[in-house]
Amino acid sequence: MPIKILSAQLANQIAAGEVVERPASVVKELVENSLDAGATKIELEIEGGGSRLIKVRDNGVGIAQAELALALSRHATSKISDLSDLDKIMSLGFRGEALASISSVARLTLTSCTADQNCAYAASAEGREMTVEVRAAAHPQGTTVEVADLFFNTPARRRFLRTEKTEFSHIDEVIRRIALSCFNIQFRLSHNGQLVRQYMPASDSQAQDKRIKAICGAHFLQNSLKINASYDGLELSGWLGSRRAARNQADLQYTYVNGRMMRDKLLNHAIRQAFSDKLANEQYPAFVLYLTLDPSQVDVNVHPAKHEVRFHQARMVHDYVYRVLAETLEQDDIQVAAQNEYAQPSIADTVDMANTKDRETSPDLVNDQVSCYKHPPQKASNEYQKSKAEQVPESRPVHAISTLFPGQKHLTGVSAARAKTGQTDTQAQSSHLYGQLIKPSSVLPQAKQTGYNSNTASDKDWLYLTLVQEKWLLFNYQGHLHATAALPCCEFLAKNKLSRSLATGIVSQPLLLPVAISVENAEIELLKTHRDQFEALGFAVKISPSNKLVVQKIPAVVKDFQINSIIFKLLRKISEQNEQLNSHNWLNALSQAVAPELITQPQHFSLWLNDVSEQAESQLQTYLQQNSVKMDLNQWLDS
Amino acid sequence: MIKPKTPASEQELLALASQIAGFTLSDLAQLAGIQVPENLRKDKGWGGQLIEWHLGASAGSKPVPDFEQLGIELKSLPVNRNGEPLETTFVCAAQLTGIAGQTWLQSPVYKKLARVLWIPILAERSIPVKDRLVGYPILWSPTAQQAAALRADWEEIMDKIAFGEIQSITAKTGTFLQLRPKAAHSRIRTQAIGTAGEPIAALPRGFYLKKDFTRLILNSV
Repeated sequence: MPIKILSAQLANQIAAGEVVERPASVVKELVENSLDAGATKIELEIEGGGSRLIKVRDNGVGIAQAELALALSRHATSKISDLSDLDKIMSLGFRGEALASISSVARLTLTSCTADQNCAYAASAEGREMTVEVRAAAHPQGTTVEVADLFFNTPARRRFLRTEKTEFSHIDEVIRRIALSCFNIQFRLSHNGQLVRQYMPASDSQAQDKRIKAICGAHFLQNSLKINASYDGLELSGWLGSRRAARNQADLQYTYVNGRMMRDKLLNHAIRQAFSDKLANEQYPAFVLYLTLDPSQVDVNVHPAKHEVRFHQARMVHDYVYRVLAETLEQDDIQVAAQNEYAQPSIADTVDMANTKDRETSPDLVNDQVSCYKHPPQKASNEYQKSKAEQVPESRPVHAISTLFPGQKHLTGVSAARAKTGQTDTQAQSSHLYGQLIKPSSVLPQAKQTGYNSNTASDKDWLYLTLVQEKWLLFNYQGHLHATAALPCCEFLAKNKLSRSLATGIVSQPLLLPVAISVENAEIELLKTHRDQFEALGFAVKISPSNKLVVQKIPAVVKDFQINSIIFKLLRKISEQNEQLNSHNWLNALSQAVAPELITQPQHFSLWLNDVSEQAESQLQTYLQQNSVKMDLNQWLDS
Repeated sequence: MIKPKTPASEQELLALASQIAGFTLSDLAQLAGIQVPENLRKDKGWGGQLIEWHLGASAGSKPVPDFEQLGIELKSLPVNRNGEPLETTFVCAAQLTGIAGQTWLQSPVYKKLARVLWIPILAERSIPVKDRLVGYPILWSPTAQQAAALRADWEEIMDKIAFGEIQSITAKTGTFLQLRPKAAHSRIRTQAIGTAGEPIAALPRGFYLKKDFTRLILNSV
């Protein structure tokens, strides 16, 4: 099949597959539109479970005649205008798909009138290209959407529809959910011409309780705890059914995030966690909860039907909800326990009364006694309960909120966070410096190693060629081969580099794994007498309890060499010339100890040669001129 | 030798630790006047305790830093001849409940790792216990980068614990910090949170630093 652009109708029908699942989803989209239009009164007429007719009438701002056609086309909305709006959505809808999608799978008529229009207009879309026809109509201010014959052109979807009763119960549930999210709006829902539900606007808490009672039942209202907590931009309010209101199905669970109804896994998890072991296995909590937070902290553009959201600080939100609810349930348990405690004495009283009744003969007296026994304690306990009931929820939440996230200020308080990171920065810096100080020299750029060789060869330059049999070093000088004895040359290099390193303050580097060396007792004595000189050279040496010599720190310049052999050689040199050791002799001794290492490790020889030729070029040249032999190859080749 | 006094400053502690750098465990045992065990199968923490003794540590196995006054945690770190870490490093037991609202800065992981005195121990299996060598101490705090990396791992793991997805955490979760079972045997259970928020029983877990991370610390010296 060739690739081609889908018709507008088919594209909308595909989109409808996501959003329009059943009549109830149409109702949800239409009522949310009405709410976004600022309606205070919404009437719904349903026929045939919604598959025959869904009619939603509101008294919102209405849609101007000129915009009616647009309202029915896809990706058209008045709710957002650019991407940044998407980050702070307060309206229920924003995708601009609902009406177009619905009108692609049903016969939709949109009738609307704004405040400054003389007459209303009706619009409907038909055909493959969804061309919109607008005509004059009669309608008060507001909008009516009629959706007839849902799924008339998508038989596959139609087969998924259940009975009229089931579909209507879904619609009823949608209206219940929405009615719980906006108490100040009046809803009327009728089915097949009969008024089924009517929710009156509820502005005060009494009227709100009434709506809760109408929707969730009296049992829930009596056994629910009022939640009202806020912390750091998060606000949680609503009704939490105590364990006594727990249900056998998860059918009384209403959560709202910024007024949008949710079936969010994260929130449900937090709520269930708050009940901990207060619920049995097959019990489900009941609740109506409203979470309000900065819209920029939540992403609603996750699911087309917006059942789910993403919180930017998911765990903080989760834990906040959990803490508030767990705290409330805990208080409830304490309160219930206290009530039971106070109920006990009054039972005892009744027993007493019964006894008295038995003993006493005069019924009048009994009555008097009963009344005087009964009232004072009852009143007292009532008062206690009342004061407790007042005290607990009022004093505890304040306390609860202040200690909810005791440390969170560190996180959200920018200055505190800065201060903290500032501190770690300096720590990091110091340890970084420490690291830098003792970086292995082998990480020097590769180019530098060869730098000496690849220098533009002037006549003065001695180009190092190779080491022969660990005895001779060959150089190219003025086009002639020159050889010099390897060991003395290395001693010269070592002495040159070490003396410079000593002059600038030698860097002593700790060995991650110190080296333990078995030595003779005499050498230990030697070490003990000359500890200061060892330290001056950058060595930290100790004697272990098992009389081994432990090298803990070494001069950083020699860290890539065999420490054992350097120490051995150093000790031998020192014992050879035990008398009159001055710092010059010590330097010589160390240089002699290091020189063999340079011969066995050619890459380090190159590095040291490079370094000396850069730092003390003339000295190196003088040394080589005085100590090398010119080898006239021509002489051999010519003969 | 008598047990050293608890050091009063970082410098004193570092000095004590440098004193014993390069000593073998038998040297340390001799100084402390105790016997070296044949193997450490039955006394897993023997080496660490011996070092603690020499550094005058006080806390024992309490959940506070070993040098509480100084806020410094002591960690011995088994390494091979090349100074490479031999195993992951236990940081602390993971709390599976009662973690609501816990931030990184309040977490035991952060507190434990805020300042650590690492003592490498040359402890290849082939080396007898008595010949194992104590390395040079490294007094360390995470760099900003390291702290950020640990925090990212910690947050990922804590999110899963909090949302009841503990069973989906494997040793592969996290770049530097990992969560692994930490219990004497696999039948031990502790309370945790299930997928629906209900209480469940789960194997106790602990936070561990992966070798890649401790290698970074060792290489910084």
